[in-house]
Amino acid sequence: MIEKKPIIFLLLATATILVGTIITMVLPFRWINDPKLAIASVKPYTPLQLEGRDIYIREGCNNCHTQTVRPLLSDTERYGEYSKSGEFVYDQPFLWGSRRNGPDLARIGGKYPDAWHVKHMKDPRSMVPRSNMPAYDFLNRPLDTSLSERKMKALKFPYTQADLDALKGKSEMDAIIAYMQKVGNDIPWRKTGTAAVLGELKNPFQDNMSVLPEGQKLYAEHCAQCHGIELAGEVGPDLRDLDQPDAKVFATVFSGIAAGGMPAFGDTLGKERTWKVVTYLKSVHKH
Amino acid sequence: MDSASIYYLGVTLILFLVFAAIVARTYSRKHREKGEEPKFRMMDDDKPTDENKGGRDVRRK
Amino acid sequence: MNQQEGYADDIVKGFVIWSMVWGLVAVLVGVFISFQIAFPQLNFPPYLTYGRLRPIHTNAGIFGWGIGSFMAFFIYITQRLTRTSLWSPGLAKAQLWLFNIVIALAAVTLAMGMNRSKEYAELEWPVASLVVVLWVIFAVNIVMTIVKRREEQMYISLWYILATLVGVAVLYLVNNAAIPVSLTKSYSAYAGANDANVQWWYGHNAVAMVLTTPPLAIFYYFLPKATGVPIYSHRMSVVAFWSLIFMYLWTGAHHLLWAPVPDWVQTLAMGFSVMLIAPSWAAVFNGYFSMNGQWHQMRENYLVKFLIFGITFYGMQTLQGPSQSIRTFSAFIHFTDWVPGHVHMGTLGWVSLVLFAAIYYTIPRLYHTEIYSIPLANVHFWLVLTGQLIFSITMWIAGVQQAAMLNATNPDGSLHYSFIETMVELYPYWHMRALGGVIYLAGLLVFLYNIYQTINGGKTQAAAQRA
Repeated sequence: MIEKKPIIFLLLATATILVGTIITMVLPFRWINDPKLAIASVKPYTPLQLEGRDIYIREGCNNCHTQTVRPLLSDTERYGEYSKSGEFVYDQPFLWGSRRNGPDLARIGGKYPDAWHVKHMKDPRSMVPRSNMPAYDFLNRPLDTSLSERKMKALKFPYTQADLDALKGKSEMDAIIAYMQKVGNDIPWRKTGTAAVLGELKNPFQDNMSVLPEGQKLYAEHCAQCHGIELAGEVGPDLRDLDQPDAKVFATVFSGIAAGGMPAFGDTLGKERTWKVVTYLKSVHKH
Repeated sequence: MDSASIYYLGVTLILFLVFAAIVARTYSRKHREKGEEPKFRMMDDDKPTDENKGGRDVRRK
Repeated sequence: MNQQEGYADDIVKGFVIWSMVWGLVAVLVGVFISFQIAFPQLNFPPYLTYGRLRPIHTNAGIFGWGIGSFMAFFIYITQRLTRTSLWSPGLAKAQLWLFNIVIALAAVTLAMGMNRSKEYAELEWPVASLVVVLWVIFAVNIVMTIVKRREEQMYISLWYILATLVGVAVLYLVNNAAIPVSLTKSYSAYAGANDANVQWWYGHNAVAMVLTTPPLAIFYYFLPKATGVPIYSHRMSVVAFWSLIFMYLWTGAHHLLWAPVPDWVQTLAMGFSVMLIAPSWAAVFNGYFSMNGQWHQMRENYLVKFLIFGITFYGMQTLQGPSQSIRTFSAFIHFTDWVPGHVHMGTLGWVSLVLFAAIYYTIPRLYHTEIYSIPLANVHFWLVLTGQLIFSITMWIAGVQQAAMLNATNPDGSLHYSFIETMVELYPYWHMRALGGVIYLAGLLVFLYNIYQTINGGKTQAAAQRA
């Protein structure tokens, strides 16, 4: 019997291993990436984006950052629309990751302006106090484009000579930022997902000085990286002497300005804390 | 129950029968002595000699 | 040649020693990156960042320390259980060279950023191809030794060894399929959700075929050897064997719960993960029942202490693992520090404790001497146990705390904490983990010193005898 016949035993063990393999690993190829699940707006990577993705892989960013938003409240409220398999059809390899030492990046595309990323990559702690991300200042070196065309061919992605010419003079930083601005941004979730502000927009804390310290604290945590701790502006505009009604400021903070690179903070802050930030903003003036 | 469920139930039953057969064979009275033999024989394997006590030489002569 | 009674044992010495070298590298890098997480200024780009060093840590641990010592003990055990000398000692010698070249190449290329990004399959295709050659050489040698054996029946360890040889081959070949672009760059042959499903079929079964079946083979062999009493039930181990290798392959997608792969794949993975408790615990019970009437050896025999604590951690690992595979619990702790806590109980607790015992058992025999110091072995035991427990327990607490904070909501339904607010709370735990790592490293150094002195003593004695 098999205890005495190693070769037959080997074949039987292989067959045993293959049952689960075929059912849970081979068969799903029939259903995953099915044309029916394709999303028309999802586009392949451009040469610059692909180079950026390769830098993301080279630096092992996936060791700390995931790229899947699960259909769970704590994920969708924090990061955005949950991930769909059709969004990843051009991802070879996939970069979903397994550990969030840092935040999920599946919806990072379009969340911040490029200038934010440049500052953050150079010195993460200047933008996110107490972050433990390494500084990637060295990415300011020129991009190696010697393999770019072969890479596009290997993956069968469409490209033009103009795309390749556009790589000239780019830095690795340009490439990785171009990649990050694409991640998760091929479906129009930002527009449809923007929380509409309903109901009356009346500041419940108007002239309530007691909420200013908390508003200031929230501002320092969430806004100061771009608008400066003195509100004098940097990546984002100067916010002193805001000449806008409270309701307008609230709508901007809560829903963001997709075109202007202003992220929406409604999901993170909620209404009450957003009003506290608004109250604080309105209280700051240029001497 | 739809046909898929019946199919899955069938596969589950077959798998269970295979498992039961392995258990039945392994624990059969007939197989008992042979099944437990290796655990005793491995206790004394430090000498690769032919005349090792009780060792069956399965090499083709 | 110092061949002990016809068995090719010199080559075993080589694999044991080199696996210990790579094990030290794995722990050193591990301790260093644990400090990097707590103190980001310890990142020195481009080569010494967390992102590049973490794959070196996992590869040195799994392939250098793990596979290296499994090769040693597969060669040692197979010869004895077949009462036959190794089929080709020359091939094994070539295998040791190739093994060290591959691991060294892996470390260098990963530091340079040549990385396929798929966990535990990061090596670029030229290095991965060498791994395939290495494995074929190894597998042929072991299988041929078993084929020409003198012992009629195969003891359970040989079953696990054979399953490992074929399992690793299938997994590695499929998941490493790649489209090469140049010598240093390739892309995965699969895309998106398919790639994810293949990767975690591989990833979780690397746990099965590298971190479970080989240590089980070693445990089943060295526990009876250490206690002097046969294993409780060979037949139970046989039933558990078939169940284990059948069910493990279904469970990969429990790494992808709530991810965009088909729901039924996730559900199957969840169900089979829970069912895996049975064969896993059959091994645990087999170990415990073998100790019937022998429990006093826990006090008197340091080898037994390593082995029984090892199988106990295996038992806890195989309860914790299935619980994490359940959707609701996964939703809570997945992506947090809970998971590194879980993994390190398996690698530091189960795999390494069993390997330490096997090395303590074989090295004195291979060098015809006695262990240099049993008290030092006990110091080693308590240090690595303490270090590992500090690591795992702090990470579990950190994971639960972060998960709870990530899920906390305000009365209006908005989230209470931003991501960074939950992350900064982890620093104290990361300091504790680094401390646990340092304690573990200290234990490992005591172990290496003890083995070094044992080998030295053996050589001196041999020289004295010749004189």
